[in-house]
Amino acid sequence: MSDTDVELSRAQWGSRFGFLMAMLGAMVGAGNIWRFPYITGEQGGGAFILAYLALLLILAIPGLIAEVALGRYTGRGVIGAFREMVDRRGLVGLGVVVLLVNVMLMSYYSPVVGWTLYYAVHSLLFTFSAPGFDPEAFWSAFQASTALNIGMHTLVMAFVAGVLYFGIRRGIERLVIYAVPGLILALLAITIRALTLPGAADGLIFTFDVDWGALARGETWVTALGQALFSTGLGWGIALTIGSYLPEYDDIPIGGGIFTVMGNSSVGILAAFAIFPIVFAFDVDPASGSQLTFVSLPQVFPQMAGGGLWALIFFVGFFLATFTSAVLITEVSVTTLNEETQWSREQTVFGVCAIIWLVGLASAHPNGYLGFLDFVFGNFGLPLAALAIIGTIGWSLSPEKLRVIEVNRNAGIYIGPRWNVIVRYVIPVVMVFILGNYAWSSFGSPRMIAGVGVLVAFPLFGYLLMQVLEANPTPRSP
Amino acid sequence: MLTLPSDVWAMLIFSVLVFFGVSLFALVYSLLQEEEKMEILQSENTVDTYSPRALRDLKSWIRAHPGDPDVSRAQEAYRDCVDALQTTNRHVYTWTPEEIEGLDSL
Repeated sequence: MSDTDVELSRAQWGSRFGFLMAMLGAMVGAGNIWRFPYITGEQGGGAFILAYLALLLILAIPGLIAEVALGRYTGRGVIGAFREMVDRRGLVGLGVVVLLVNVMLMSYYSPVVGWTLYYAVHSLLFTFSAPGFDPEAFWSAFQASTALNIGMHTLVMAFVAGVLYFGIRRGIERLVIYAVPGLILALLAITIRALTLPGAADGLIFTFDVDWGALARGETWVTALGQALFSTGLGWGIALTIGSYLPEYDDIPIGGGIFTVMGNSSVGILAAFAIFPIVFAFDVDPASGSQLTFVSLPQVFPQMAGGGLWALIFFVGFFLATFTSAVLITEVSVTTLNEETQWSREQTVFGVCAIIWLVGLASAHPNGYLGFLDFVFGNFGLPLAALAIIGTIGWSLSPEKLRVIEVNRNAGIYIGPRWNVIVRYVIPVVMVFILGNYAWSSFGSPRMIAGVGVLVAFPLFGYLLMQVLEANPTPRSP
Repeated sequence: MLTLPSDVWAMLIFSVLVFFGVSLFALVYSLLQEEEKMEILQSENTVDTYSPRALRDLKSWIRAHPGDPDVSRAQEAYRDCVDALQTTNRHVYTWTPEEIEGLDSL
């Protein structure tokens, strides 16, 4: 028997490690670094961590197991997976919904990756440790520049296309097996430095102090819910796509569920260890989002011994975190359209990247719609896509069938029938609750109206499109 | 040594153990499991694909859903596992000889 015959990852993933790093690389993104540490501190510290952990165990791990298992079960991208699950051809359009949400999410994520690329390049030029460097002015000038923002967005999509061109094993896997450990090493190195700074304790107290009262506040749980479900990648179609390349002898629950969810959260915790001790040690206001990473931290690095080097480690690591996610988010559309059309993989890669680049111009422009689209698709599009995937598994495919045939096949741990209840009832109800909560909290605003528009228009468009296309099927790639 | 209140220390250690501990354990366990499956595949040419409990669930599902469009797929998965168990000496899951003898081929 040849080595090839006994290769466990026979399809595109060259190794188990490659699959695990792809899952982690896809799910770890900007949110782990610029959002998780801050909201943890703001929403009750240790109490928030406990709420978040409970929701990971109850919802995120079972949900992600379901999505990966569906991918391997059908061996298809998002539209093909829905075709295997539903009887009515129009309902295949739910796959179109996931695809459209994915493209829209990537269209405004690419400019954000462009910011991290810009800062990574400047960290290599040691701009942040140069005398007279003003972080606020530097960030404002960058944000005001149309050419720089569109240029970075263009570069990011070109790099993404470059990686995807080489395929799953030679492109994505080669990237993630180095980039993900590289990111973790970068954060570890910064953590060690951060914890040895005088005043670092205040940063840890900000993040890990336990405010038990927070557990009685609805806001804590709603925030934890959003973080637990969407930062772990549920509903993006990524887990489904990665799972579709998973060979039959690989385990799903431990790798696709537990490792991915807990590993993703560990990076958030590690970022808290790395960032807030530094922020507090230098008496800079803690913040979240772009203000934290692009203004507060560059304020601090020049004050640290070897600050230029620490800035380089941080920003290169940050870029790797966002870039690996960008590659795998885009792969969802590439896999799907490559299957659904007669285009070659190379043609599909360039077609998809060109579409995302074009749509992304609206967000890359300094006066663009990034914040608006982030609200609409983060709060309405993503729960809709997650509801489409998990709801269809729960109510059309049957979670019990997926569990007995696929989830427990070659599994490292046994998944019992209680998992069915979570997939069929709990996650869909939670998604409806999240949608209702976002709609209620922004009731009547243009963003809420746009969100509701997505909820109505995307499924309708998907339904009608697939109703027509499935009635006149075109030849597809094998 | 960082001076932290005891509840912050407790939460910090808890977070490290739960998040880093579980992810590292899952990573190592998963990679070791792959290695073990590789070894079995190389020596036996096939591996058992379900644990005893999981195979019982699969069998119950097949019996309860004879008309399901995917029942033949489930039957094939069941038979593959039974064949592997009955034709190999090394197994991924813990199976007793009695359990293997008691398996029927549907």
